[in-house]
Amino acid sequence: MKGTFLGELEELILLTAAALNENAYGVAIVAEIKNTTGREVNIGAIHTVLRRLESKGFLKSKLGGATTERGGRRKRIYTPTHAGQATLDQAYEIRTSLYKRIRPSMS
Amino acid sequence: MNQSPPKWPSSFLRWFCNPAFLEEIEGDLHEIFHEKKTNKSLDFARRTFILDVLKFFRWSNFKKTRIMKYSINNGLWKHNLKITFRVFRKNVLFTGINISGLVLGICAFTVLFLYYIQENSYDKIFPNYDQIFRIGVNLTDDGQFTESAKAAIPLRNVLTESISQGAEFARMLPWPGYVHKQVDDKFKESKFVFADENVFSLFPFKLINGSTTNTLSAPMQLVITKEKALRYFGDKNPVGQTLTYEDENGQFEFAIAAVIENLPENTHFDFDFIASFSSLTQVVPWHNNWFYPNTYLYAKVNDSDQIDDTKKIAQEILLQNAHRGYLEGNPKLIFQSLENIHLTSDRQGEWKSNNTQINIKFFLALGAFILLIAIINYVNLTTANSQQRSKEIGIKKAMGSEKSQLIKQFFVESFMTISIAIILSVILIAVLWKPLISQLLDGAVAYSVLVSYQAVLVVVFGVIALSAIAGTYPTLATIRFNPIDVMKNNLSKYLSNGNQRKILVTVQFSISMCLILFTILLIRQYNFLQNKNVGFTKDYQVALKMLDNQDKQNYQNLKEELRKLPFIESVAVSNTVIGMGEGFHGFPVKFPDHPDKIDSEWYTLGVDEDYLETYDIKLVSGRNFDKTIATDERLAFIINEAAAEFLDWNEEAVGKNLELTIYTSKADNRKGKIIGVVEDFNFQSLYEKVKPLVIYVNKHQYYTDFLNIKLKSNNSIVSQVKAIEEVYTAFNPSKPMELVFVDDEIKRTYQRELASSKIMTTFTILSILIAALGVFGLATYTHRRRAKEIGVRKVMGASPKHIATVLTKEYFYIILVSCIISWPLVYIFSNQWLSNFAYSISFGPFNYLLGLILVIVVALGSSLYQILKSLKVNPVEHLRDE
Repeated sequence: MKGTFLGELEELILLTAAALNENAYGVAIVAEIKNTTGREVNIGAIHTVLRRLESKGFLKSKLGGATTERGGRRKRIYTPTHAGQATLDQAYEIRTSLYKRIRPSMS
Repeated sequence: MNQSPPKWPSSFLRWFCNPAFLEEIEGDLHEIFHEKKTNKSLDFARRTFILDVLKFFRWSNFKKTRIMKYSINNGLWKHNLKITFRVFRKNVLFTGINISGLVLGICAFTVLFLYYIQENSYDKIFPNYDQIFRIGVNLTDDGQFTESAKAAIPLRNVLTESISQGAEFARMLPWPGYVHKQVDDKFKESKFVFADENVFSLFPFKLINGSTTNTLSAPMQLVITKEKALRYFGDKNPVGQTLTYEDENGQFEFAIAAVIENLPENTHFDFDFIASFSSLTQVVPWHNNWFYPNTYLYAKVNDSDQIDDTKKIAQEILLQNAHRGYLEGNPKLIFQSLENIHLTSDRQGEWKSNNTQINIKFFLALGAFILLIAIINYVNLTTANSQQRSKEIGIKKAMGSEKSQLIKQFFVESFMTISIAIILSVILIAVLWKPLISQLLDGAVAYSVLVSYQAVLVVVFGVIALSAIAGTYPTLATIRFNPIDVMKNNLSKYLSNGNQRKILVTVQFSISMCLILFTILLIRQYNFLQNKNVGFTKDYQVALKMLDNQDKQNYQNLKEELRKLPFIESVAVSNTVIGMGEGFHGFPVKFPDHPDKIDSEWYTLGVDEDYLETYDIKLVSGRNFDKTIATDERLAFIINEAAAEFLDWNEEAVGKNLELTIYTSKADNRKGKIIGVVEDFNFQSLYEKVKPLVIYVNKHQYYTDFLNIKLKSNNSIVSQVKAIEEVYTAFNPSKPMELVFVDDEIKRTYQRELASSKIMTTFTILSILIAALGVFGLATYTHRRRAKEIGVRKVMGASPKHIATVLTKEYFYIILVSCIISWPLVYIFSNQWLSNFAYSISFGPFNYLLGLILVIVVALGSSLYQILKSLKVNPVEHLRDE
């Protein structure tokens, strides 16, 4: 599993990027994480993690549209790759299977 | 209003950020900015923007330059390192010589460099040191022109009143006295000063306990150093306690307001106690006087550019306000900037003896030269070794290696060698610091200098600079081989005739020769100063210090007791000990019997009748003081030959009238006769010719400071000192005995010469060692290179003598040339240096020959092993593989 291991922040960001569904870029991810978990994530850290996820092959990116708020600069939209999707699924399964052992009724 | 984000963070971002990420990052930043601007405020948005840019300042966002790419990805570096270590292993001898030579050189340089830094750091511990000046005065006083480090006491208040803005003035007046906590436990404290209340704002000495703000504005307040706090109060907190200060005017109680850290080595100040200046109204009521002993005066100006104006104004104020009599001496104020005092100032009454620029630059140059010798070794040995690498180079070139890659490879080797050498040097210095180096430098350099961040910077910079200096030539010499020649084993056209090597070795030998000669010079002059006939006996002489008034009043009893000891030849009292360099107070003398000579000020020595005998000082004419002649006690003087000469009297001086004013607690004016003339003896250092001196009988307790004891022999000195101590303890049980050895005191006068000759000797030996290592390495190389030649010579029937001549001939030429280079330099320097002394050796040709012999011994000695090896080897072994 070495190399495909996901850190806690990485997993959170990968998950958020997947959840944002074709609209995941730096600022949007920060805002979404703030909304759902209340956590303030450093914008600089987000970019680094996104790039790391991309180099690990969990995310792919393309340049999206520019807006006036962005001073005419384009967004880089991140979407999960199949590998990324699979890793998320796998992580989810591991967690739920573990969780079921402590609360069998929840399933 | 401008609604956009601030410009400079964007420029900064663009400067460091990898362009591939730039658009995305900038977009996000702008978006956040826009959001904050709408929801919060423009200011807030801007602040966030700056912070956010900083958040992106991380490694992964940086532009990757070529070097970074290399260092991360290029396997060539790994390869180079591997080759380097293989070369090291293959050539242990060369690598060992190279590295140990460099280590010695770097150590020598570092130590001397640290010394240089330390000496240059004096008084820079104070903030705003560049705005602080010491005001001294040039003044003609009683016909004698003096350049004093101090100024008149009233000057400060006059200046403060007149220049209220932009400048601040503070005095520090040394006023030695006795200090005690309990009455029977007194110490003479010569480093007791009185200082103005603002002295701590000029010089914020490090506070340990209590407070220094405004403490000195009240009278009878005292600030003491940690050392003295420990001496008087032990572990207890001295703040709030009292100490009693005592001088001839009475006893005064001081309240201790603060304890400060002991003064660091690198300051020109030298004191242990600071009392408030206002206390002087009680201690010395008449102190505010233009003619009273001067005080150190410091000025702090707010703007150091305006110092010239301040100088001018201060001089005017002096002229307007000073006492008329004072102005007759034509006083001129001298401003010295604080940072320059230690290395440039040599005025009268300095806190402590200062160093000179020349001196420290000389030592720095010494270090640089030793390093140069080490670098030359490295260059020579590496170049000499380059042939061995020719095949490697040839093959690499044939395989398509670029020149730049080869350069890199050899620089990596230099870099590694030098890094190892520097790391070893740092370890060596750290290990040897306590036992050797700090002793060598007399503790002048603090260990903390070594572990400071500047030191680290110097080391890093040193590695790079040295690798560049030492690595360039050998690298170029090594990589020039043409692959075809190498393959054909056709190397003869690359074999240099060794001219460059010879030149470098000549430089080495010249430097070594200079150093050897300077060392001989220093040692001989120092020994000369030690052993010169100074006109009195200094061996077997000890002096017992009278520690308190009790001692000083009743010294007669002690003297009698001491005389009863069988090993003591004689005992005499005096106000100072020869060799201490001070205490020969200059007192005014008048010559009523001399028509032309006006009044003067002569050095004086207050003694009793046994003094001349105790020191074996010989009378030229007249007689010694006599106890049985009652008038001798006040009305008789003995002068030295220099004094007689000054008065153009020789024998006839005896019987002439002389007036001497001795200042004790009051002026004691003695109108007496000269009863004797003594041979000149060097009561001051041998830097100076003997000055006129008048010896008078002193029984006043003010000047009964020492009992001089002449021992019969030096045998069992320990038990003798013990016996003296028993007598003293019985006499004064409250104090530990203080005994000085006269020849030690005299040695101390030449401490700088001793220290210099110690440093010189050590580093000269080091440099010789390095040069010898180099010669040994080169001889090894020569032995290898010329093995075949020697073999052929042997086969042809050359005698061992002939072969030895062939092998050593070039060294003799080299040594000859280095003599031609170094001797004139040494000649000029030695003459100049010796002219500093009134008494000096003549540095004759014999010394040069001695230096020459030493150099030859070193050169032959270090190549001897290889020469013998060449002689012994069977020629067949070298000729066989042909």
